[in-house]
Order: sequence, then C-alpha cells, then structure tokens
Amino acid sequence: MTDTAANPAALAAKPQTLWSTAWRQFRRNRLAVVCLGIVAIYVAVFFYAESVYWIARIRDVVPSYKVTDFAGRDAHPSAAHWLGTDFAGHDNVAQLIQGVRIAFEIAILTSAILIPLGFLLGALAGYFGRWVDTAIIWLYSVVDSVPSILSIISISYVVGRGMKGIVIGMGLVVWVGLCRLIRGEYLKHKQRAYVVAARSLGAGHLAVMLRHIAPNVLHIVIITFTLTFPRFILTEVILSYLGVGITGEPSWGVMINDAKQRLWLGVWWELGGATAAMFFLVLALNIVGDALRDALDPKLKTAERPAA
Amino acid sequence: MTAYIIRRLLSVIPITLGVLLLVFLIYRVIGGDPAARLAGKNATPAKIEQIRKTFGYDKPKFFGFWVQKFFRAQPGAGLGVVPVSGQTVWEFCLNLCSFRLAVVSASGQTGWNFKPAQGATRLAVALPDFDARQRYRMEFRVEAPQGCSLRVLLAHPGAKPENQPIILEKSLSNNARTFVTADIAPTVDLDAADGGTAQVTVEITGGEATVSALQVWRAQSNPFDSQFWQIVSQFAQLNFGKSLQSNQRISRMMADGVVPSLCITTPIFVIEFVVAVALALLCAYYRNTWLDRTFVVISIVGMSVSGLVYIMLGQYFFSFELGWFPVWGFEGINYVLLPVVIGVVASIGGSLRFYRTIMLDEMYQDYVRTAFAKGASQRQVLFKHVLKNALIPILTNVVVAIPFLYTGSLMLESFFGIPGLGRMTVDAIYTGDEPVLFAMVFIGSVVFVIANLITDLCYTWADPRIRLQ
Amino acid sequence: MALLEVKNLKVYFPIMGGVIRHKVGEVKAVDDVSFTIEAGETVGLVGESGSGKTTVGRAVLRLLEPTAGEIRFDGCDITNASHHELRPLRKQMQMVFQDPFGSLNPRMTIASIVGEALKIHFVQMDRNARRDRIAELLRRVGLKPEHMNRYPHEFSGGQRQRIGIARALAVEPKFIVCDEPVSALDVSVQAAIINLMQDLQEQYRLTYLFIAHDLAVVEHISDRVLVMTQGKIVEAASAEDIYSRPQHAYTQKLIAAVPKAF
Ligand SMILES: Nc1ncnc2c1ncn2[C@@H]1O[C@H](COP(=O)(O)OP(=O)(O)OP(=O)(O)O)[C@@H](O)[C@H]1O
Ligand SMILES: [Mg+2]
Repeated sequence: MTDTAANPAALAAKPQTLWSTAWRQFRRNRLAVVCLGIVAIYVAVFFYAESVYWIARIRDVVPSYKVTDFAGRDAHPSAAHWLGTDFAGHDNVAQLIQGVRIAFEIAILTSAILIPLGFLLGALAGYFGRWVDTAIIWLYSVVDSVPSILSIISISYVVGRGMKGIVIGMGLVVWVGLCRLIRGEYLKHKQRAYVVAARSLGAGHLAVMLRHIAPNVLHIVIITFTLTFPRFILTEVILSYLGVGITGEPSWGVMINDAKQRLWLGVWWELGGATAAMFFLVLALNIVGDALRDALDPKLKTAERPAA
Repeated sequence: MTAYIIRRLLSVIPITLGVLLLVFLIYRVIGGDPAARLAGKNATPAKIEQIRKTFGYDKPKFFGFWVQKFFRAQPGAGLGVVPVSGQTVWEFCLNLCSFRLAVVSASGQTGWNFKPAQGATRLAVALPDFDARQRYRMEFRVEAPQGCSLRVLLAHPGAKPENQPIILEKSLSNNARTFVTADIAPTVDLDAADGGTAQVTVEITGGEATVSALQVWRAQSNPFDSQFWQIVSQFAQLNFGKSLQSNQRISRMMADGVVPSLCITTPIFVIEFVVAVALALLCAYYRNTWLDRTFVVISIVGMSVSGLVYIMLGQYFFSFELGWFPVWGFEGINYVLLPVVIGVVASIGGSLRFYRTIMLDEMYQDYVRTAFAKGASQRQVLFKHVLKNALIPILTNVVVAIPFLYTGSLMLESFFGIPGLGRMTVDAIYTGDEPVLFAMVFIGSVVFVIANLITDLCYTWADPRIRLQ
Repeated sequence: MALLEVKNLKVYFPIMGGVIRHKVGEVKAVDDVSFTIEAGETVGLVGESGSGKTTVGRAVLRLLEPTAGEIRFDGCDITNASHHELRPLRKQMQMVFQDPFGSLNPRMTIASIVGEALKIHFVQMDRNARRDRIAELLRRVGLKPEHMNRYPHEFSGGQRQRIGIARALAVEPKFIVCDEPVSALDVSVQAAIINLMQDLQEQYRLTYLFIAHDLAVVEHISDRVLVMTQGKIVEAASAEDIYSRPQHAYTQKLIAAVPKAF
C-alpha cells in the first residue's frame, strides 16, 4: 500500500491553521511588522484616551483636555506643552491623543454598520443568486453611482453634525466595496463540493452560509477593515471642513480646520502635529493592509481609486 | 451582443430611478422633517408650516390619500402643553414602513403631549384655513385610566358654541393606550364660512389623561400627487428648482459653474493621468529595484496625508509666504496654476499605486512570460503587450474619475475662491441650500451612470470576451 | 423491493440570455433516465466527461431539483420532498465526492468535518461520545485519530478522500453515491481506496452507486453497469455482459479505450 494514510511523517509536528501560515507569511515582511507595531501603539493610546474620557465622565468633571486656560492660550511649544496650546489654552498633545480616540471610535462604529451590512448583502446575493442577486446588485449599483463623497456629505448633513452623522453617512455608503468582494467569494464557494457535502448532510442554507462559507471569507473582512480605516480618517477631515463633522470633541479634522487660521500667523506646529498623528496611523494601516492582503489572499482585487 | 448592448442601455433606467430614490430618501426621509431643518432651530410652527406648503413637503412622500394639515394646539382651560422632542427610533421606522409616509406632525416632531392638570379635560386644536367642503382626519393617542370617556367636537367659525357637531364619542375601556381616529366629514351647511380657523376640541371626562402624537390631515383626491412623483416629473423636464439662497434657477447656476470647475479639474485629470501612467510604466520596467520601491514608498506616503493639508500648506507657502500665486479668485491663468499643482500632488500617490498594481498584474500573466521566453525585450513587452492589455482597467479607472471633473474639487475650489460647482456645493452645505444639494448629488450620479455606460459599451467593442458574459 | 428507483428522471439547466436575461434554452444534463438499485449491490455509472453522471448522482440525493421524473428511496417518493422532509433521509444516503480538494472545508478541522454529521443527526450524543466516534471512524478508514485536529490542507489527496469517506460513513448510511472517488488520485492510491470501499461495503452492508468515467475502475467493483452518454443511459447490463457482449456502439468505444493491462 503506497497510500500515505498511515504515514505520520507526512504531517508536520503541529497542526497548522491557515491563519498561522498566513501569519508566517506576514512576518516575513519586515516593514509591515514595524507598521503593525505602530498600529499597536496607537491602539494603546486609544485605550488611554478612552480611559481619560470615561474617568472624567464618571466623576462628572470637565476632562483635562477640555479645561480652558485663556491666560495660557496660543502658547508656543514648551516643556509643559510640547505642541503648544490652542485658542482656548487646551494642550495640543492632549487633544491629539483624544483625536486618536475619536478616529478609532469612528472606525469601529462605522465598521459596525458597514461590515454586517456589506457582508450580509454580499453573502445573500452570492449564495442565493437569481432575483436576490439582481436586487442586491441593483441596490449597490445605485449606491455606488452616487459619488461617495457627495452621498456621505448628504447623509451626514441631514442626520446632523456630530459623530452620529459621520458614522451613519460613511456606514451607509462604504459597504459597497465589501459587498462586492463578499458576493464574488460566495459565488465561488457555493460551487465547491464541500457546500454540496454540507447540504447532503442536511445542513440548512443559513448554516451553510454562516458556518461553512463565512469562515472562508472572513479574511476579506479583516483586510477591508484595515484598508478602509485610513479612508474613514481622511473623510472625517473633509467632513469637518464642510461643517458636518464632530462637534465638542477634538478630532483630528477639527484640529486641522482650527489650525487653518493660525497657520497664517506662522503657527505651524498645531497643523503639523495633527497631520503627523494622522499620517503615521494612515501610513501604517495602508502598509499593514497591503501585507495582510498579500499574506491572506494575494489575488484579492482591493485596489480602489481613492475618491476626491 | 446586440442583446447585451440593449440590456446595458436599459439598465440605465432602473439605476437612475434608484439614484433619484436614494437621494430622495436621504433628503426627505432619513433626516426627519426637511421643513424643520430648513426653518432652522428656533422657528415657529407657523414658519415651518409655510415652508412645508411652499415646497410641497406636506404631501405624501410616495403615495397616499391625505395631506398633512397644520394645527396649533391651544392650551385650553388648565391645559399644559408639553412638546416631545425628537422622534423615537420606533416612530421613525413606522414612518418608513407604513403607507402613510406623509405623517410628520406640524411641529416638526412626531408628538405633543397634552397633560391635563386636575379637572382640566379639554384640549383645543386650531385648524387654520379650514375648508368645510373637504374631508379631514385627526389621529391621536390617548392614555387614560379606566372609565374615562372621550368626545371630539368641531367648532366652525361663524357657528355658535351650542351648535358644535360631535364628531366622535367613545368610552375608553381598560386599554392603557388607545389610538383614536376621528373623521371630519363635509358639513355642507357650514360652507358659507370657509377660509377661517376651525377649532376641534378633544374632551375627556372621568379622569386625567394624556393625549399624544396628534396629527391632522386633509384628504386629497389623487394619491400619486406626492413628493417623489413631483420630483420625478420635474427632473424629467430638466427643472431642478431654484436655490433657496440666491433664488436663481439651479440649472442656470450649474451651467455657470461648469466652466470654472473644468478649468481646474481637466488639467489635474490629464496631468495626473499622464504622469501616473508614465511612472507606473517606469516602476514596471524597473520592478523590484530601488527605483520602483522608492516610488511605491513615495506614493503610499503621499496617500497618507490629508488632501486638506496639501491645500493649506500649498496656499500658505506659495501664495502667502512666497507670493508666487494669487491667493483667491478666478481672473486668469495664474489663478489656476497653484490649485492644479496641488490637485496633482495630492492625488498622484493613489493613482500611481493603482496603475502600478495593474501593470504588474499584467506583467506576471502567462502571455508576458511567453513573450519573454520568445526573446522579446523588456521594452517591447512593456509597450506592445502590457500597456495594451492594461488599457482596459486603466480606461475603467479614467472613466470612473470623470464625474469628479463635473463635481469639481470641493475643497480646492472653496479654498482658492474658484466659482465652480465644487464651491457651489460647499456653499450649499454651509447655508443649508437643500434644493441645490439635491440637484448636485443627482446630476453627479447621472454623469457617473452615463460614463459607466460608455465604458461598458467601449469594452464590448474592444474586448470580445466580455460579450459572452 | 429496490432500495432506489429512478423513473424517467430529467434534469435540465436553463440557459439565460437575451435582453432581460430570460430563459433562452436549456442544457439537458439528464434526459429521461430510469434505473433501479437493489439493496447491497453496487451499480457502476460510466460515461465520458459531461455526460451527466454527477447530475444523476446529485439529483438522486435531491441535492438538485429534478425537472421531471420520479425518485423513490426505500419505497418513499422523494421527488418533491422539502429540505425538512429530507432531513431524516439524509442519514441514510450519502455522497463521496470527485474532488478531494474541494470537498473538504479548508477552515474546518477533520474532527469538525466528520463531526458535523454527528451533530446534525445524533443530537443526543455528547462531546466525548462524539470524539470517540470520530476517532473510531478515522481509524476505520485508515487514518490516525490523533490527526483529528488537523486541517484538510495538511493531508494528501488519498488521505483526504479517506476523510470524505469517514464523513459519509458517520451517519451510518445505507446508500452512498460515490462520484468518481478515485479519478483524481494516483493509480496506486486508487487501488487502496477502492479496496477500502469494498471492505466497508461488506462490513456495513452498503449500497453503492459508483460513478466513473472509465470502465476499468467500475468493472472491478460493480455488480451491474449503466453506460451513459449525453444525458441518456444507453446500456444497462451486468459487469461481465458489458465486457463480453457490449451492445451499444458507445460502450464498445469505451471498452476499446480501457488499457489492456487491466
Ligand atoms: N449547475 C449547472 N448549470 C448549468 N449546466 C450544468 C450545471 N451542472 C452541470 N451542467 C451541465 O450538465 C452537463 C452534465 O454535467 P455533469 O457534471 O453531470 O457531467 P459529468 O458526467 O459528471 O462529467 P465529469 O466526468 O466531468 O464530472 C454538462 O454539460 C454541464 O455543463
Ligand atoms: Mg462529474
């Protein structure tokens, strides 16, 4: 018997999930690992900022980054205020740190809308085909036909300024890309014999869709999240400029727009600080996202023209 | 092939209708009452009512037999009026799902609570411009303890108080909450005095009660006389309405804005395209060398900076500090130069990376390997095969960018004071000029739909494989 | 009574086209096919690629909607049974697939692939009992139970086919459709898998519908052979008769294609 069934040497010593293989692949990209480290630092800052915010809220006091100090306003960088202070005497570094919180909150909340929406619609369209597919394709073609920046602005505008408007606006528009990718994958996977096998065991459509196929396309969600995160950050800046952004909290977009007037007075550090804080996160996420795609699914076509 | 082309042509219709529906949903449904939004924060109900009437926001959204009627609640004998702010999620959903999409109360909110103090049991509702020949309907919710009874009375201008017809009489049983509908039928004998203000009185006896979500509607004969179909028929005649700010025709404003916008966006578009494709070819030629990697790094770095920062820094340094270019205005070629340069710099990173990916994808195709194996030189392969085959994805990308020519660059135009469509849009957002926004978003989408159609038709012509799909 | 009875089975796939993507024609994948399979026997189904074998196999298990005809399994008509009604029957009929790479979910461990069937059909079985049963099944098909936490991509083609067989066996079926279970394997491995399947048939009294595209494989294992081409069965006879007295021209062609060494 030449079949290797009984030959244990044919298998590696430890079970290998596809994730661990991908991780090994990812680790080979040094730059991406460094960038993952940068993202990790931002995540830590996010938790720190979140705790500052919540502690102040629970104690019902004005958080330190919001305490106004009109005597020490528009200060230049110093040991006490590394990036100086703004028009109301807020420390710019503390505000940047809160900006990390806002950026992450936007990304997380928006993803909480767009990932279920895109995933579910994509899965339904790809799996059931026929009129379900036709309807969902119509839906996303319609949403996609409106230039995304215009539809995001419109929704944020009617919902009203603030986090809610931004999140709903981006969430209801950006799902299209994910939906397309997921639909394509479901189309591919439903042809596979393992799906027929699951059906022949008596598994229902929902079980096949969610328990069998979903794990096979989950990596797309991760890649999409990493690659759209930068888009959320950059869009927030535009929305803030248009007056439909965050209010009452120091987001990066708000800071950049506030710095606009003072730049002409030669105050460059405020703009520079916010730009740098954004830049490193966006850069790191872009590189990590690319590396993740290369490691998890090199053939995935995520290249999208950055709009506006 | 012909079937495909016809199908593709026909598909423009549902997509365009869909886009119109989407924009309509955004501006008329998702954000709540558009009239309240236009009226601003501290508007009186009468002001809101006037806006609603002018723009036809009192009509049903899609389909319906009733038009929203304005009412004013009058705190009668001992009645306290408590406005409830905002819609609850549930009410919002009801509004979306139910057929009566027109239901939004006169105050711009979904409900008012009328809480009678001790002994007070009357709630008076004033209906301005009452037409006695029309049918009206009033709906509200009552919360009352057991044993209460309810009466709805109509008092018409000119009629004596003792001559009040009773519209509805009802004893409230044990339900905690009752939904009451009172139909106010034509009262012919009163028609001499229409145009005045009628008064409907809700009387509750036997206990303290809360009346909420009170709405009044007027019947309309054509159920399709609704906001959506009105827009469809208007837009079909290329009538986009007038701007709230300048009171100009929107189509006129757009025609004026197109040229300045194109002056900015066309050069950006062309320069960016040529430079990006040239650099992408260079990267493909020198793939995996330091040159290629440098460009990749530069493009990712370039993509990671906000477009707004490019504009702010560019304007500050070159216009303000160095004074090489004018800061603001649109009076000559030198007003356009800086915005164009900034536009190219801000967007070239993304394009370069996109085109490079496309070219490298082609580079690793079998036919390219075969060509290399047959002894073709790098340059031959690059220009004869790769560029030719990459043309389709490149073309798609270009066509997809065409609507941005039209919408202009929102931020560039408003920073440099260029009177194009982008600035028009930004101004409309600042001033809440919704008809302008509505039209801009819709036309922008239609341009995209048409551009997309043209690409697809070009494909069929260029690439026979696609016809088989 | 025959275990499986198929009468005038037709499976047509619509071809969509035209302006509004309506049906403009159909592929007659299976066109008026009738046969019966007795309990305990192995029926071979041969035909060239695209002749409709897989379609027959799947339609018989109601994994496809038949266009017309009648399918009776164990005396009951399952032609129009719903997913729900079919559920108890799924325990009795199973399938082994052609492609050992596509038929196992790459994101599931061997234990969960084989255990899925147990979870669905043996609800009362607890975790440990299920583990033991999976281990026993793996041992039975010649795999090591300690590999149950591995993923399919770590196994060779032959090993994967064994996993597929274990999955089919898990529900203790009466009837298994084997859709070219060996055609993707090396010749040496083919023999091992076929031997395994024969052993299992004896041990569990299985009934097989054994699909293959060449006669050599089928002849060895089948009691009767059906020859199929272009959606129709053109010849049905015992394995010896097919070889010694082929009636149809197409069967003769198939025999001529079998290498002499067999
Ligand atoms: N889902 C489907 N939609 C449309 N046509 C199909 C579908 N499945 C199968 N067909 C067509 O039906 C015919 C029979 O296919 P089937 O898979 O049954 O052949 P087969 O005999 O199993 O071939 P092979 O030996 O290659 O597995 C083929 O022409 C195929 O193209
Ligand atoms: Mg087959």
